[in-house]
Amino acid sequence: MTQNIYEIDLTRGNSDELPVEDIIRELDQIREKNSTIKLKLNSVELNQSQLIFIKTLIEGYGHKLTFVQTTSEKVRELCSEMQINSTNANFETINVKEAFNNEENQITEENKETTSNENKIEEFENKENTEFEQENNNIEDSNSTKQTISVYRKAEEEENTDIDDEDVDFYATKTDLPVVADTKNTIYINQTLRNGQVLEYDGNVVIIGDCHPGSEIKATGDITVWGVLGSIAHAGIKGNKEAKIRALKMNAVQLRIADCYSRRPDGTNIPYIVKSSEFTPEEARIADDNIVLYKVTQN
Amino acid sequence: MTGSVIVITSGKGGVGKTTTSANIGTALAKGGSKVVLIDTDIGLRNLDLLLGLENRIVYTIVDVVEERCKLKQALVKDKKNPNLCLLAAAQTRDKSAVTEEQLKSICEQLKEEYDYIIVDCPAGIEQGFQNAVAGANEAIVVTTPEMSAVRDADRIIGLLEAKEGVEKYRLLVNRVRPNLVKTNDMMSVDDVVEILSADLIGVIPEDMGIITSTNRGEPIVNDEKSLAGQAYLNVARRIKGEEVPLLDIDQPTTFLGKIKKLLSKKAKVQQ
Repeated sequence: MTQNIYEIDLTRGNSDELPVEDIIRELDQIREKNSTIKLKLNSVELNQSQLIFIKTLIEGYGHKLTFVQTTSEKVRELCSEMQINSTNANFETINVKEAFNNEENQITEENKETTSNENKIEEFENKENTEFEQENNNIEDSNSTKQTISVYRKAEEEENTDIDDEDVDFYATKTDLPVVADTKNTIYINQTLRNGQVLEYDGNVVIIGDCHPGSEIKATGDITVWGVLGSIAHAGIKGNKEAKIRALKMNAVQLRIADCYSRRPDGTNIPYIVKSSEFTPEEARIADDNIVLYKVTQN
Repeated sequence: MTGSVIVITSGKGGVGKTTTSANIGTALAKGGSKVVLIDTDIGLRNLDLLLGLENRIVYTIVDVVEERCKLKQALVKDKKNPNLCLLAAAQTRDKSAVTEEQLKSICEQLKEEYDYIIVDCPAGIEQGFQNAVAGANEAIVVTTPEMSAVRDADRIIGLLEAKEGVEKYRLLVNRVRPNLVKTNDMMSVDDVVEILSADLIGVIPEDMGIITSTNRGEPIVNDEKSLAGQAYLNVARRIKGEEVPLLDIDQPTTFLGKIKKLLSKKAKVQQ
């Protein structure tokens, strides 16, 4: 939870006329995407269509309307119908510490039942930040304590389901597969990554070419190498444990996914040159906190 | 007349940059071209030793840059070949004594009068390398068939690709021992070319004669019997644009014919 919380104050308006321009102006000022918006209404009463309008407006900007501060029972009811957390500003009994001992998700629920005013939210933010920092420290600690980086291993052969080629109708199975759209940016690199070159990208990376030893790829999403991966690859650098690393030939010195680090098993360095006939496409992903290589044909 | 500026570089030290510079320079001059050799290894100069010109140096590249002499005054003529000149490095200074712009302007001036300007690059990728590459429009990456040298060459090629002005780079595989390659104890030239995916300009066999020639200050291309000297002469001809088949560096045995065939097929020596 690193997102900022912004407040839109509508207390000066009245329920007859919605100050749309004010809202848009405020939204324009928010630079970060995916911010959390707090709507301050107090005694101003809005009807359902107005609330829905504001909600869709905020979502149109790519933000989230997470809670509404209001004194009106009616508005609070509406909010709970729309699954927005509403708070009563006059309600003053909130146990911040207790709220924080719980999971982050529950914080907003706590708010729903209790309250939060301006200061409290700020407190939340601070708390959240410190907690985040602590988490970061934990990650670093765990990295530093992991002096013996585990070795990435190949998936067990048992996982290979025997399929008779004749029985499989590839087209049929393909259409049955659920289509999952990846909304991350993807960059295509159409060159060989040489020793000393570092590629860092916020999103997915596809490299058409080899990655020579000594280079480094870092991506917040997946890494796909259409060639020999002989370097260090770090997918999901911002903590995405679902990230994957794929290569036509996996010879990576180290594979890293999120905070999981692994190295090449000793003595398995492939010969100087890999012929394309020796390519065995593999995918690395996290399984039980270890990085495991799966043959791409398996799944 | 505009000559071409060729930088001889490698990243790793001890692979034979200076030997290659001296021999290619001498070989080109023997073929009738006007050649200048520039030593950019300021503080650790060796090129003058290899050419046997140590005692004739009066002014160095630093003197030229700091305007204590004219560029022409600093050029030392070779003992034998009047077509060959050396612009020596200063021994008492370090790499920061010269900037990229200064070297570039020296190259530009020399281009007008000479056919080939061969720049001997220091090891490493720091200021010295940046200086040497600044004025170059061609590069020869020297490597030996060892993993460490190949890794460094890979790094250098990456840097050269990013450099504007360097139009092409070619690979020179030095110190190849055919009998070790045969027993699979050494990478073959094919392997090196494949790993680095670069064009090959020549293969130089390991030759004991190099040591004596270095000590005597006499480039090995002047020794007609030497295999390494022949290989360097061939490299010089390829630089001039001739198509020369790769030298059969392993002449005594019959297995070599096969290698040679393989090599000449794989390694496309361009132009």
